Amino acid sequence: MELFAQQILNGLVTGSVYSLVALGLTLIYGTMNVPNFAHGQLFMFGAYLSYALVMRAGVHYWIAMAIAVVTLAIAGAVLERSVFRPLRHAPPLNSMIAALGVMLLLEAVAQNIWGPEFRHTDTPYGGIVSLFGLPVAAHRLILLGAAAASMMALLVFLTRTTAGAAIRATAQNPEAALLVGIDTGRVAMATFAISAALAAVAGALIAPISLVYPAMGTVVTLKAFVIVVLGGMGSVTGALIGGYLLALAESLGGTYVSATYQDLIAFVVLALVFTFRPAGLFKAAV
Amino acid sequence: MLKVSALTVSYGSFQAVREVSFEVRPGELVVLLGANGAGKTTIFRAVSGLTPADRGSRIEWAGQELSSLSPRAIVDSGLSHCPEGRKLFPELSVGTNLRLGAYRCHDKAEIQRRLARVLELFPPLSGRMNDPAGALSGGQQQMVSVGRALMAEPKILLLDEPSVSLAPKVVAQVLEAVAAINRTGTMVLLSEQNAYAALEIAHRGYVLEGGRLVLHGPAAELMQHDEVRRAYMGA
Ligand SMILES: Nc1ncnc2c1ncn2[C@@H]1O[C@H](COP(=O)(O)OP(=O)(O)OP(=O)(O)O)[C@@H](O)[C@H]1O
Ligand SMILES: [Mg+2]
Repeated sequence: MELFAQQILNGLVTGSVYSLVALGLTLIYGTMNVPNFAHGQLFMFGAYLSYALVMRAGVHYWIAMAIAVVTLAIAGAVLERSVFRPLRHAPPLNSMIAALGVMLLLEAVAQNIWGPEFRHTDTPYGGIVSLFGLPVAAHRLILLGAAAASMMALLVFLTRTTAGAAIRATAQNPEAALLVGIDTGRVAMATFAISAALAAVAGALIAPISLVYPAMGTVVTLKAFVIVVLGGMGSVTGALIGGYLLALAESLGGTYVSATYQDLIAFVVLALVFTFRPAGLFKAAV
Repeated sequence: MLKVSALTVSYGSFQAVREVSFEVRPGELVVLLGANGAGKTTIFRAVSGLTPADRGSRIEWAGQELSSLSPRAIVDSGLSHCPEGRKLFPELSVGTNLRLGAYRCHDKAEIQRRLARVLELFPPLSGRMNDPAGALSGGQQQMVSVGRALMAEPKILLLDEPSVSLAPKVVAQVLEAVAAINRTGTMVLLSEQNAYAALEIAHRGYVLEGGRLVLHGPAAELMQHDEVRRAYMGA
């Protein structure tokens, strides 16, 4: 029973990261039809920035996260403006290749700055707490809460504000959005910024309980793509729920089926979804 | 006044609209008639900035040359385009669709006032404000589309085939609403295949064939015109 509870908790922790990353990916796909292969690298940069600020500059953990989030948001906006905007009217393949280029570039930059070693970030919540008798690293609970709060904030923004409605409108009908006077270029930039910020939150949250290294984004990107396909391309609810579901399947499958093949579970799930529900579990709706 | 002169629009090397000139004067409701593929939608898209016009085309409105403006600046100039095929935001509520029509207005009380006016024009929408727009019937979706364009409180409204694929009774309702909008002083440019019904509410009309204007005149005259009767009214 304790093992089971432990695995559920692991699943929720990993799921928080998956969902945060997948949400950004699905938002960008939904509004711009760009599969941003470099999304996991934004997550990786979020983790590294948090690491560098906390471990090398001595900044407080939360302030470091805030700086990482703002920096990545700006980087996301710049990325949209400089790389993807000029390709808006080009064939989709061009954007995909550009995204792959950015992915390789970001990884090389991280390797150059921080080296290939595994890094680790300290957290102010280093203790162990007891959750219904289960010993749990305090930071994991902080991660669960902070991730949930960020996703809540995103949902409220998307569904309760005019700016959020403009993003959803642009995703659902870009021409109609232009006709009501929405600046869809600005929407694209804002969407990239928000998505990168979410990735940074995920990176900064995971840095103290996982290893930080240049390739850490690649696996996460793959998983996030599985989730976005699983949840329905462009669907926010799908990405949110899909992230937790996949992580739970992985942690339970890894414990009770086979630990060796844990990372394969995502792709088995993907194959099943492709076979039985090609449009995803949730209808696309930003 | 909206004054379009020598408007030419090309898709690649194909000229979909050639040297078209027309105008909509203050207070007028003008109808653009034409069969499938005549170029009506292309003209509307060029006027509202969605499709670039060829060099030499002039689109004058409210003292501005529109062909160099962005769609957003064109909305700000008081021109609102209700596009062909409704183009709603299907997953957003009817209320949000309508409010987004007033996206460029930041005065909450003013938006509320416009909303009340649209609901007065289209009473069936009142009970559907929280439903996703995509869940409505065709006629009600058309009302949302026209209502959304009206939320910008335009001085001129462009309506691209608002009655297409609606039941005859609903067509009459929609066109009656269009006439009512025009009576409040809003200029209207309407495209229709439903020539008779459109000419009944219009002041003047233009007939488009293969991207060129072939005929224009007061609505009453066009209604009697042999060619119009033959081509559009099955007479
Ligand atoms: N995006 C496009 N690319 C190439 N050709 C186009 C495009 N849009 C329209 N056309 C062509 O331009 C011509 C005019 O089309 P348009 O849609 O303006 O006609 P329409 O009068 O609105 O027709 P309908 O009554 O069917 O809406 C047609 O021959 C059409 O095939
Ligand atoms: Mg048309």
